[in-house]
Amino acid sequence: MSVEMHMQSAAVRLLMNYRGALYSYIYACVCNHADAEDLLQDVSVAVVESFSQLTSEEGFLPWAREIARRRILAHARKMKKERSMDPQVISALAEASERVTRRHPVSRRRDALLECLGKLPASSCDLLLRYYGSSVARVEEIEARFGKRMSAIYAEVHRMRSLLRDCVSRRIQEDLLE
Amino acid sequence: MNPQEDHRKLLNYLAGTLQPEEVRELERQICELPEVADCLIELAYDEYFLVEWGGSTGYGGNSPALSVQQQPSRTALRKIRRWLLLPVLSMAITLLLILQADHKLDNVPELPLHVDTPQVNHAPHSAPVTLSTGEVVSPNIEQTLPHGFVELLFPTGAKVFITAPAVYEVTGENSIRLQKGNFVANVPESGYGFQVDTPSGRLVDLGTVFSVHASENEETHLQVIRGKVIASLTNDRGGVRKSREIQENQAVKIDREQDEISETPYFNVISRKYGITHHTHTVAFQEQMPDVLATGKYQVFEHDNLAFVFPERANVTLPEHLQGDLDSPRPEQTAEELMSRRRDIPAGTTVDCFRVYYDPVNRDGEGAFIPVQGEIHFARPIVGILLSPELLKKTDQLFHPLCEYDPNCQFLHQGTEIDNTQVDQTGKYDVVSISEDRKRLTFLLKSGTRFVDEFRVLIESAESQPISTNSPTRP
Repeated sequence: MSVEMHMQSAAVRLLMNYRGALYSYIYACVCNHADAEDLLQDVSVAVVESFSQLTSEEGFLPWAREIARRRILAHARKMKKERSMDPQVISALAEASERVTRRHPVSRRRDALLECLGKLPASSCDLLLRYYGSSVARVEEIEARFGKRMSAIYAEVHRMRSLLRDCVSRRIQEDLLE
Repeated sequence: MNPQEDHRKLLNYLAGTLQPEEVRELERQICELPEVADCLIELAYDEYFLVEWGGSTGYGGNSPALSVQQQPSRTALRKIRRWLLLPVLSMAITLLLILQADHKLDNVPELPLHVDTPQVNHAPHSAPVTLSTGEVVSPNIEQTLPHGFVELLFPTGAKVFITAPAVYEVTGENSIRLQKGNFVANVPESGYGFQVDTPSGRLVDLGTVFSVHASENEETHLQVIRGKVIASLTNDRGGVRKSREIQENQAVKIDREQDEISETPYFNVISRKYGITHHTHTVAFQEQMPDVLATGKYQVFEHDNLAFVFPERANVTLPEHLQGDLDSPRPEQTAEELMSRRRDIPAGTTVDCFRVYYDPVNRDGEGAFIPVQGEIHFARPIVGILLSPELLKKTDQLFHPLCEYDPNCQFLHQGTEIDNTQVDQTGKYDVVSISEDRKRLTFLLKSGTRFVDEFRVLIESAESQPISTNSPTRP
């Protein structure tokens, strides 16, 4: 394997490790999954192309996040007519993303989310699965399945998201105390 | 501050459902109050997690597996456990890449390394790359394939089907060099990062099915059937000159002479050669049927929501009449209609045969079905469809590529079960139909853990005389 091949493999590996952290930052800025996914792919290509500029793996996430911030700003300029995005908000969220990942790794949050999902009542878990895994499902199908209007389902999903967030906070807090 | 209210606002902010003045107020808080910004990042991560988690379950609106009333907790928890495996698999791949890279770099100590790689001890060589027959493929040795095809199984789960004439070299546990030839790679999530080097470029897979044609005249053709691939143009030393992300249903040519990665028509010209003019993106054409699949060992070409179509034998002249299972130019599925449209394909008819095959990955237990809906447009009229396992077995001698020189060969088949007793009210049966002009095949196949759906499609051979579509029906 050549040095370049090795570097490309390393870049892909790091992108895999930090995908969640990068995605959540981008998504918090653009508030749209399709745009977030596209931007993350742009960032991935840029990371692979310019990976030789990175001097240490420890600096990967801040470096990739800075690439993401610039891509989001470029995206914001393009999207100006549809939705204005304040550069200050984009920078504030970059700082927040750094604080959050420094406080606890995203892998811990993922584990906590899994634990908390396992504690939800079965019907709630099914509703979340249906809601988040239903890109092809029609609204009417979800409504019919659960016998509720979509507005009631949104409210229920929000309520469960709150429960999940509280549960995750407790888990992470318990870890810190241990 | 009311945490519940803030939480609701932040979720609505992410969903884009706040009023403009509420957005302005919240964005002011994001800039001024770090805890609000942190909370938004955490909620965005939760959202990312839930979308990935939900998506990984294969929960589609049409899936009959969603019987919430039946066994909700077991279904949901099984899905959680399956999802939990993904990070573990990803870590394993990462480790393999590190080990491989670390080992290889011993041979190039003079070259500068800009990346600090983790210090990993040399481990004994782990799982090898094998052929589908179980034979180990020696790494870093150029292999020449003058005839036929080979199927390589990588320890990461990536499967590669190489068609002759080809020259290739396995360069690692998740990488290959294709000097020339064609292949189709089916890379599951565990093989994320699978890498292909060709004389003109490099392809890094991001979880896909894709096909590659490499030639020694410095051109590489890539077609992405599912997922995404990063395609790079490389220089003589293998250094990346430029990269481009290639999306699903996109095809590109990596051309070193022109120094560019340019878009090309998506449609695989090879399938046109066989008489398929068009198909939906839920169908993948593959020129060669993998050995293991051809010999009746299933669970090979597993992919949710993606059916494969393989050409079998062409220009076969029927020695005697053959009764097809389905010859309906309309989609009715009642027994009476179906039977009335069954007919004999007359002896002497010359046909080309294709096998349609669907085997989803879904591992969610008995009774869980993942559907695939697709269309295939043929250049010539469909003469008949062979659905039942018995008929597939019976016609192996005529159409199966491996039976060409063995008059006694037969293989096990699972077939495709359409509703042949009544109009399907349960939605559990497969649906296969033919258009009025008999050139378009439409199907909705539902398969699960232990089953595959497969059937044969017979079309008029290019060399045959057109036959009447009003042949007598069987009583």
